[in-house]
Amino acid sequence: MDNNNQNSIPYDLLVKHLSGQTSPDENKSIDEWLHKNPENQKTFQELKDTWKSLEQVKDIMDIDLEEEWIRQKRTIEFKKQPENDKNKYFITWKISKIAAVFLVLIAAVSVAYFVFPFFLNNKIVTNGTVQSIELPDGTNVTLNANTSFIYPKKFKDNIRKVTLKGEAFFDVKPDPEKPFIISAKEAAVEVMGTSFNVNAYDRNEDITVVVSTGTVALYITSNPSEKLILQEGIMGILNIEDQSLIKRANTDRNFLAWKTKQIIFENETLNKVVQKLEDVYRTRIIVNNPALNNCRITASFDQQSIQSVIKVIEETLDIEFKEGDNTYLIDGKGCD
Amino acid sequence: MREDIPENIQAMHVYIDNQNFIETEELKNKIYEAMNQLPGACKNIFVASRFEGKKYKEIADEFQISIKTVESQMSKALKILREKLVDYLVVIATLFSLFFKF
Repeated sequence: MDNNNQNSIPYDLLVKHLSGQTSPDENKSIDEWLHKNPENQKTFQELKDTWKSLEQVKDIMDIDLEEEWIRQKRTIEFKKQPENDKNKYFITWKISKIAAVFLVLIAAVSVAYFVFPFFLNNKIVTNGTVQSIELPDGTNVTLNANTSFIYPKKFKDNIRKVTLKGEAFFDVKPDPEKPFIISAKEAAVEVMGTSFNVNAYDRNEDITVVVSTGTVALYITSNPSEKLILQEGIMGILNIEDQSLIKRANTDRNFLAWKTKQIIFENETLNKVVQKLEDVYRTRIIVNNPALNNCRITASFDQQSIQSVIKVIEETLDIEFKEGDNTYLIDGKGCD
Repeated sequence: MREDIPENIQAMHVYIDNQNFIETEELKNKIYEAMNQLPGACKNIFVASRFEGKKYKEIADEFQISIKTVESQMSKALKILREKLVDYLVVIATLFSLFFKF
């Protein structure tokens, strides 16, 4: 086992590289060193992670730097004073003292301003699952998958304000004194007490609100005077690109299926069915033969597993599903 | 299609929800403490590069030292920081990458 590879770590070079100042030649030699040994890559990754993690304290370090600068400046001003001019010396010293007090105050206020919301707000992020929560006022919220939701630990006296990215169903506790406002990207949804569904995923061009009971106001956050009033069974749509607000009757009877797992298909085409199933069961379904998309299905499901839903469709249309890794492949003869 | 988050991060995820982000503040403090434990000159040189984005040459001129010294002080600083933070690095990377996703 002769191993004359001393494997010394070129720290200087690696750090220089992280600060973005290595020449192409130096980069090449780093690359060679990295490929010598997996251990080297681990060392480098750790240094890189350390370097990157410092981003988190940049703001605080900046405050420190500013304080340091003021302190140094003060020392310089001290030195500038002629030794016999005691009065002037005294005044400068006093001003510096006041300035320092102010600086500490400003720093404290700004730290409080940025840090406090983290402690006063709850943030919930869902991945692949649906999650229900009760807010401090008794409002119930069901969050769909891949959704982030922020709400205060304690609501203010005159308003209940929450933030949503993704999709959620709200059952708002009535309280005419305290309007409930949801900001969802560009949209704001304002209610007194009612239940409705908000869909505001980043990937969608529209933000949609469907009202189950009661009345809801939908508006663009920057223009609160123009409110769209939505009643039961009505869908409000905010198009993000052209900033338009429209309403129409809700035609998607399955809009809450992600929450209830109750799905009703009435003479629905297979591609619509596939879309809905993908959404509700968070899976991928690939239709192999495009002619299959014309096939129509009438069926209703109540909290059934994706497997049993697929079984029903297979038997109705006489087609075949193949199961993969969270993916289903449909094959079979098409319909006219 | 939806963006899918790798499975190994999901466990982390639950952790964040429950801990309410106080963890992130604690980690910030850990990093900040580690920074403040660097020896004086070493820290100043490192801060000039990492936070003020100055080039080694500029730092050398400012501190009246050679570029070689800047290089060695820089690597000394990061070596110390890595030793102090190595136990948290995985957590830091996961926490902050998720935290800033939204």
